[in-house]
Amino acid sequence: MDRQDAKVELTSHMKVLRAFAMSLTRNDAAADDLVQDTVLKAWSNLDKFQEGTNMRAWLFTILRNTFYSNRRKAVREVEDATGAIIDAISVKPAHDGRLQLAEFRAALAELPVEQREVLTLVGVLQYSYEEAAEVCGVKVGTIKSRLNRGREALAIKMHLSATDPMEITDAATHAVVAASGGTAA
Amino acid sequence: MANRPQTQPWETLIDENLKKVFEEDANADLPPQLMDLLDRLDKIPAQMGAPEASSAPHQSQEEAE
Repeated sequence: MDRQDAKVELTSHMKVLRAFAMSLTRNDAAADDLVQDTVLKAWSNLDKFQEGTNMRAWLFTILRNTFYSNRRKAVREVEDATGAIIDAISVKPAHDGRLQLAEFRAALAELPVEQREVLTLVGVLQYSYEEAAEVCGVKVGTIKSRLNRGREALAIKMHLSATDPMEITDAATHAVVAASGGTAA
Repeated sequence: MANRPQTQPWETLIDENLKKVFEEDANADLPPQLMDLLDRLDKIPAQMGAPEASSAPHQSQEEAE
């Protein structure tokens, strides 16, 4: 692949790559370092990338491999300053609805990274179970299990349940729920 | 998309908030260090012996979306 073309495409994926890094690390500085390592590895191994295939998926795989490799090497996981601040804020009760985004972020940060990863791949990026299983190197059943456990944990943290009427103040969210056949209080 | 069963309303609500969090991160400006890295890419030679070259995935990865 022409290196200038590759650079243009790589640059176009940078923001979503950083967002994926944030979903794994929940830490700005760690996400930046992870993206930097990923870009350097991708750039130096560009000859291994087959033109016409999905560069974003290729970058995502390098990023998650780097993340888990670094994690294995770490003596202990260091919690991020941003997360600590959000955690501190999250102990306050929500004043205008249960699904305040900051509160949701804090709840998300408390999940095991394996669950956050699957929630991001399937819940956000719309990967199929099979695609997520391939990316994560696990069985489809494991993906389903992590997804269900992650959603259930978030529901508990956000005080939601299948029978609990939802407090929704956001019009877009209300529209999504209404379109899916749900009811909103 | 294969194998994606119907989700319950509260699951949809959670996914919607997951998307908001992700989009908020994806819409943020890149930090200076990453902008600098992109500027410097042309000066970085290929095959410089990245420590985890093996972590680069195979090419048969399916289209993710």
